[in-house]
Amino acid sequence: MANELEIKKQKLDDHLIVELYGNIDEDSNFETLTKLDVKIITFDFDGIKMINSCGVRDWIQFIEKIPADTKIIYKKCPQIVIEQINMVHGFIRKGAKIDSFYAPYYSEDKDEVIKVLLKSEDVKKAKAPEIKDQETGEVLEFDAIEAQYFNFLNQAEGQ
Amino acid sequence: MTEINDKEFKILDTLFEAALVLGKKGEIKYYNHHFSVLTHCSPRIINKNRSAITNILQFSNFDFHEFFKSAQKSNQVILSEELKVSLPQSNNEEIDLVLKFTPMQEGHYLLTINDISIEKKLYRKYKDQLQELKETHAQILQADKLVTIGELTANISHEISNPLTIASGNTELIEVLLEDLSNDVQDKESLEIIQTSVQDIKDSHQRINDIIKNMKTFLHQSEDSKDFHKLEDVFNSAITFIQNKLKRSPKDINIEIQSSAKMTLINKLKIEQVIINLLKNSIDAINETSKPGPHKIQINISETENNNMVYFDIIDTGDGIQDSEKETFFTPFFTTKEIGEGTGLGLAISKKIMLAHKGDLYFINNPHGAHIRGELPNAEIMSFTENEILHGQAKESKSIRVMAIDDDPKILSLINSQLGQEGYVFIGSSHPQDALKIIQDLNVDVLLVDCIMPELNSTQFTQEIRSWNKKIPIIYISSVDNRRIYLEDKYKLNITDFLEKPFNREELIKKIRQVVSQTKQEEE
Repeated sequence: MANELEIKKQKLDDHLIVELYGNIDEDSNFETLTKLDVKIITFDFDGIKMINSCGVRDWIQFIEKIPADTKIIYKKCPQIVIEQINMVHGFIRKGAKIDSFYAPYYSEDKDEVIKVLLKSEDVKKAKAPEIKDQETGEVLEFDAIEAQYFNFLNQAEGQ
Repeated sequence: MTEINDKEFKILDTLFEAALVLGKKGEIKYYNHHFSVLTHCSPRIINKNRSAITNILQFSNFDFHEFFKSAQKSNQVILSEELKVSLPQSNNEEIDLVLKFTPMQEGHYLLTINDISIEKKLYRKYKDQLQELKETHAQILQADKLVTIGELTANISHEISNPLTIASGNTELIEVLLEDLSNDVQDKESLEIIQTSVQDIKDSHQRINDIIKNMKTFLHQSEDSKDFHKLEDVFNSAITFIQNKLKRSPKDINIEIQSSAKMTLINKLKIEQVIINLLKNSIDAINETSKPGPHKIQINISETENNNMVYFDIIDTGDGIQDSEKETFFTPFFTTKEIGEGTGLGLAISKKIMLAHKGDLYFINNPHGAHIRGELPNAEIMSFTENEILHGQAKESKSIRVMAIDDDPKILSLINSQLGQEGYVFIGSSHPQDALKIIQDLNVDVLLVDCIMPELNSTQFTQEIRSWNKKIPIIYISSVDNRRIYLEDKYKLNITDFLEKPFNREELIKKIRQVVSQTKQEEE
């Protein structure tokens, strides 16, 4: 099937790094991620192309099965994942940390939208940090509604 | 006109659906966050297209503005049908929506959008998987029936063997006694009829024996051996077998064969069984028809333009096949006959045999009667694919491809079986012109060429190959009388060797090994 979910795992001592590629949907299979005996799991969403409500449902069911004392970190969440996090309760488990995510910024000079990787700590009081184009120095415009886009940070740890 | 105030703004933001407030002209007055998420449009894009919602949502086969006008006219809540929409801001991703217009304060309309894409996708998947389950279940039931049939067949074949042996023995005894009595009997004509009948019984016993052997082979899934045969010969053999049925038919049925085709590589017994099944059905169809005669079964054997496939067409003058029967005709247990007259397995098994030969069996529309076509790969294609699969993938090093061109199917079958034991990939051809086409496209390591062939003799054949600058080693094969042809062509056309007929396996393998070794040395 095209863009079927692919999961790559890398274990470093008690830390499991899980890279996700493809689509999270009704066909996704998280069976290879059950019975994980680690203290920390980092989910890297950089390779995710699409996520729908069925996939979100399956994800929530999977996440709830991870032992409560396992620390969960989400990193490199693309905009489509952020949108789902903002809409659906339970996508980020209580106590989970969003380490980094992509935010849309618009360059008027180039007339194009650039996805910029931000760290959660870069966002203060739901305000998009100032980002300049690396080539031209142009100050890029945040291309979404800040209050809506950064809402997820309220669900995450330490906010 | 009353403008939307902040409170209403907040309420719309809490909706889970995408929502818009449209003005009198259909322009976007307000949109909620979910509309932005649904359309993958940032506020910047939406603001640019406030007056042109169709730049954000591209409808196919739906006039949004007309629909909006009719919503304004009716001044009631109005729902659209399910719509397919593409999103230009998201690589024209397609989604399925339902629109709902609700009149608000004078001049404003609330447009809520229900995204049903996932629901539709899951519904389609559910339907497809349910259909697949139904088909799989039906196949399991059929397979179960066939397993039972297989077990029954095994028992029947076992039980038949003993009485058959007794019957055969007694037939031979009758034959011998008739020979002894032949001088004493006055009525020679009756004696001759009895002797002919005894011979027919013997042939039938042999046939039953062959069928039992074949069934046992089929049941034990042992190797499905194939040999080179001319289809016309197989048809003639099948027609001989059904002579009794033809004689007993109340109608005069003429069988005509027209053949222009060449050889195939087949399991003769199985293909003969297919042909017998089809001919029997044709005879039954003619016996049942009320159409006036003359009645005939026309058999045409031909090949495709590119000569890759060999066809046989069996056309009878019966009533033909009803449209309602066509789809299920080759299904196991389908029969138009009364209980006890036909199991309905003949055609299903016939189709299976043809498919196993990488061919097929199907109907052709014909207003005059039933027209069934069987297709089989020609000898060259079949021998190459069978042997390439068997030997070509088996070794790490490249397998040696040997092609033989000879119009005698027995020679080709002999070479096929001898070379097969050595792991060579063998391609057999009965016609030089077909062989030339294959050599152009395929790398052949050794050629075995019969000196005397129709269309092209070995000299003409080799001249053609050498004109392409192909240095393929060529061995002439023929009787000792034609050795002179080899000697004439040896230096002129660089013929490597001569293999005298009849030859045995050791001689053939030795010659090929010598040629291969020589070629390898020259390359190094």
